[in-house]
Order: sequence, then structure tokens, then C-alpha cells
Amino acid sequence: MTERTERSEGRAGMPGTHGMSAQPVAVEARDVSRRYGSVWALRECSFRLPAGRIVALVGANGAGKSTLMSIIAGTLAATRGSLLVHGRPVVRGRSGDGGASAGSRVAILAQDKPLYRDFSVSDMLRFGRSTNRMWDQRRALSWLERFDIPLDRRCGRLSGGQRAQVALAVALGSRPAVLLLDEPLANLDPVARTEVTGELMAEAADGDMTVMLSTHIIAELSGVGDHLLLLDAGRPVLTGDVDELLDGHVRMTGPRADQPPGPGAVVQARHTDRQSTFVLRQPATPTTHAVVAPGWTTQPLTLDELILTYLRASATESRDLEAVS
Amino acid sequence: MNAVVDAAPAKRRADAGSGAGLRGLLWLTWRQHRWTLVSTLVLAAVLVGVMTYLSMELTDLWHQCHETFCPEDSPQGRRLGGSSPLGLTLAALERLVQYMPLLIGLFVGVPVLSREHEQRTLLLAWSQDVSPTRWLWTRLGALGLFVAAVTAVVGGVSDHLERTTALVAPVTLFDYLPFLNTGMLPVAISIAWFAVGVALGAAIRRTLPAVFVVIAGFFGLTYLVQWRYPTLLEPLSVTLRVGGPDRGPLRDNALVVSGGMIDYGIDGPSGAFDSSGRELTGVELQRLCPPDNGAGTTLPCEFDNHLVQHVQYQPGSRIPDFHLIVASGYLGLAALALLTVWWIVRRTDLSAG
Repeated sequence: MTERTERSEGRAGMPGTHGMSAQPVAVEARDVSRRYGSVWALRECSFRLPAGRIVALVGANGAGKSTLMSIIAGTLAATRGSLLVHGRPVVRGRSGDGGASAGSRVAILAQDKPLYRDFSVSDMLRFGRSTNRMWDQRRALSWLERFDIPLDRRCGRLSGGQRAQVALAVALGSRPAVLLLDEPLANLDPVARTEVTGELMAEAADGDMTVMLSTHIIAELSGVGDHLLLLDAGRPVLTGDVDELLDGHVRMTGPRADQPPGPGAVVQARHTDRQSTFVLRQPATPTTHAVVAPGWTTQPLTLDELILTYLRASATESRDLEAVS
Repeated sequence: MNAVVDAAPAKRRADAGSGAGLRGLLWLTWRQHRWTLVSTLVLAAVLVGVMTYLSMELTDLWHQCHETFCPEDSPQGRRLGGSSPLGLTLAALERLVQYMPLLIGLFVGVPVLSREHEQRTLLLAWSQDVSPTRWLWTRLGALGLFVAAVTAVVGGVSDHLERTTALVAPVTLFDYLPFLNTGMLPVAISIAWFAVGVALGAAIRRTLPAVFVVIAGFFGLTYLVQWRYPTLLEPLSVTLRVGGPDRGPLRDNALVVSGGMIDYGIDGPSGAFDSSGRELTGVELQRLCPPDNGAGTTLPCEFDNHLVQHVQYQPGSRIPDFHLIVASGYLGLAALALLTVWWIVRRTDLSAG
């Protein structure tokens, strides 16, 4: 079997952007790059993320997800480019003290859910109240009550899952406009994952908050994110409304052919001696996934398949570029 | 992609609280460092209590000795002897006050940033509504004031104890340890090592290595100051008659910088001069006034032969000037350390991953 990748659109500028119909923009990146020594963690990232949505930031380990979130949170400086949250530029170390208006406040929950180990849970809430201009104690308490977290227990004596809930409560209590969650479900059991994602979606809907949730485990995304930002090797390769992205892609399978029989840009092509399979990005008008030629079948893609297709395509393209250079 | 709009989100729900003010940051500082602060206070209180008690006891001895030095062979003199319990306690307290800045650097200064780095809580602290620089200055201001207040009290009591000791025993306040433990120096040195501790914790980001560097730096600088401080100002010179009853300008807490020592038995300069101003060799001096092996005849012999010696010294009246010079150096070090911390904090990148 051979595999060929064609990426005719969505590589430069706003990559493969779908579904941003007249919505306020929560986060806008303009050619954001970040280098650690000689290694580029992010390269020329440009995208816009709609406000009030749950954005799934997906990528393999080392794709640049944490780096991107840290730049949005203002704890890491971009080497190049600019980033705006609700129209205000993000400057490292200026998240507070007037550096961000109420509408552009960002909270971040890091992968390891750092908490002060010798603080009790109620101390952590007081920490949140003491270090934020806006603080919603009721919201933070309500989150903790939902997950039965004892307020008087020291954070160092909580389980990993409970620590994650406390960190989430502090983040939610600060009433951010954008909440960044870096691998938030990693420490949670399957039941808690479902509960947390459900509650997060409710909070996002209720609080006019944009949630960006990163993961490298695609299965975690099931039913959670309604907007996708796919990173690979520091570059955004796909972004858009999840439903529209799924509607806009199709897999066509049929007899061996160099080109697909239907319209659309080829994202991925696979060939055996007798059969060809194309993943196509459809034109803007949704298709009905009808059979377009004798012997050919079309199938919709699942989100997992779509993400894997783009990641493979990106990897193939990177290899091709390296071979050329 | 259709039209996109840059807009702030709709009006948010009324907030149930607000913070990010000085009071909140002070609470956070207290909550994070409370055990260190309480322990420091307790230790300082014990130190102050013991030193106050000993000052009272020394004052009592001074009165018993008719408000002058206690003779060595008197009961009071024996109580003050270097190997007596009182003498050993005084020496230990002197060392404790000398090392107080080191302890402050280690236990108050270093953890301010290194512990946050180790526990990865900086990302938590700096991603709230308080900027890293404001977080830093509030914290350093609060802890710095605490350090200054505690060490001012300890330094004040130590100053009193050293002065009381100088009333009853032939010691000079210009000697290194009494010099360090009096005046403004305990405060200035403590603030300096607090700031250096914070800076090293910020630069190294690990508590234990930073602790070792602070310890090495403290002893290095201590010995550098001890070596250099006698000549911070041009010493004065005086010619004194050997064995004379009057120590002349060397009274009143003077510090002998050079001279005042007589060498016997070597064929080099002895440090003693005859009445014509010629320096005797060690052999000549031994021939003129042989060492008495404790019989007490040498000094009268040297006095009878009108031998003199040249001494370079710093008068006791210069102690405040020297305190000011050394304190300025330490405060300069503190300022440099704080600038370094500020620079490091401004350049610190924190990643969520």
C-alpha cells in the first residue's frame, strides 16, 4: 500500500478554518512562534477561536499544546507574533494589574495541577479571592461540593483527582473569560471525567466563558469539544467547528485511481494494487455523501479518524519537506 | 470562514467577591511563610531574653567590681573567664548573632522563589490577577520589613550586651565579632543575606543547591570583610613606650591594625625600637631583655630601657564610620540582589506542560 498526501489549502494563514460565522473571537493568534533554544515549539501559528465555546486543542506529545496555552495565559513570551484575547494583546507577566480587562482575563490549569501542599482547600479558595480582582466564591464552592471535596483537608493529602477539582474550582472562581485546561482529565477516573466534562460544558454555557481543553488522547474528546484546534509539530493543521469539520470531510473508497471521482481537496490518499481510498475536504457546501461514481463508496469520518488523518498527513508532508531539503 | 467579530464577552454575572489588593497578598505571604516567621520570632525572643538576662548579670558584676574591669583573680573575674560558663555562653551568643543573617538567608530568603519553582506553584500564583512583579515586591517588602524589625531588636540587645561586656572585661568593640554585632550591622547584614538568598533561590530554582551557595557565600564574604575592614580608612600611627602603664590612644575600643607585637629570638626586626629610634633585631632584644618565662621581668626591663614600639590603629571613635561603610556595602549587595531578582522574575518563562 502506498500513501500520498495532498494539502492544497489551509496551510498558511488561518488553517482549514470552519464554522466561525459572525461569532465573537475569544483568542486570535497572529503568526505566533516560540523557540526553546534551537527547537521551535510553535511555528507561525495563526488562528481564531470563537468565544463561549469549548475548544479542543489536540496534538501529539510535543506538538506545542502547553506552549500555546502558556502564551495565551501570559506566562510565556512568544518569540515572534502576537496573540489577542478578546481583542487585547497578551503580554507576558501582565495578566493582572490592569494588564487585562475583565473581559480578557485568562485562567490556566497546568498539567500537574499545582496547589500549595500545606494549604487547606478553603485556604486555596482564599488564595483565589486574594489574588483576583473578580472572585466568585459561590461558584468555586459549588464546584467543590459537586465533587465532595472536603474544605478542611490539606491539598497535599488529597488524591490526584481531588487536587484537579480544587485547581478547577480556583480557576472557575476567578471567573475568567478564557479558561485554559492543559490535560485536565489526566488524573480523573472515567466516571469523574464524564462528570467534569459535563459540568465544564454547563459552566461554559452558563458563564459566557471560553474553555480551551488540551489533550493528546482523542477518545477523551468524545462529546466534549465543539470546536477543534489541531496542532502538529508546532503548527495548527486544522481548526473549526467540530460538526462542520465532520460534515466537510468524507472518505471515498473505490477502484485504483490517481484522483478521486468527486469534488474536494485531497487530504490523504491511500492506494493498494486494486483499491484507492481518499479522504477529501469538501467544498464549503455540505455534501450528502452520495456515491459519485460506479464502484465508489463514500463514508463520513468520525472525529478520531479525522484527527488521525490530518496528523498522518502532516507527518507525511513533514517527511517530504525534509527529504526535499 | 465567515465574518468574525472582535468583541469582549457579554456582561458577566455579578461577582461575589474581589481581591488582588495588598491585604490579600499580605495574607498569602503570611500563609505561606507563617511557620518560618513564627519560628524566627520564637528564636529571636529566646535570644533577646537570654541576652537581656546576661546584660543584667554583667551590669551586676560591673557594680560589684566598682564600675571598672573586674580583676582576673577576683571571683567576678573568674566568672568572666573565657572558659567559664558565662564566658562560653557569651561567646556562643556572639556567634549566634553573627550567624543570624545566614539563618535568615537560608530559611527566609532562599525558599521565597525556589520552593515555588520546586512545587511548580509559580504558574498558579503568576496566572492570577496579580502581576509577577507586584507579587514579588509585596512579598519581599513584607518579609524584608519583618527581617529588619526582628534583627533590629536582636541587634539592639546584642549592642547593649557587647557594650556591657566591654565595661567589665578588657575587650574592644572594634574587634571583629563585637564590631559585627553592634550598631546597624546586624540589620544591614541580615537584609543583605535575605536578599541574596532570594536571588540565589530565583536563579538556581532549587532549594538545597541554593542553600549551599548561600552558606559558601556567607563564609567567603565574612572572611573577606574580616580581612579588609581594619583598613577601610587610613589607620592612625602612634609610638608607645613598651610596658608603660598607659595604653594611650589604644584605650576606648581602638583596633590595632599593625604593630604592638614584639618578636624574640629571630635575627629580624623585633618591632621594638630603642630611644634613638633604631629598630632592634629579635636577637638584640633577647640579649637586652631575655624572655622571662612567666616571671614578669621582661616588660619592666623593656620599660627601663626606654624601648618603644610603633602602632597603627583605628580609634574607637571611628566605629560609627566603619559601621556606616560596612553597612553601606551590605545594603549595596542587597540592592544588587533585589535588582537581580526583579530581572530574573521579569524574564522567567513558565510553561503549563
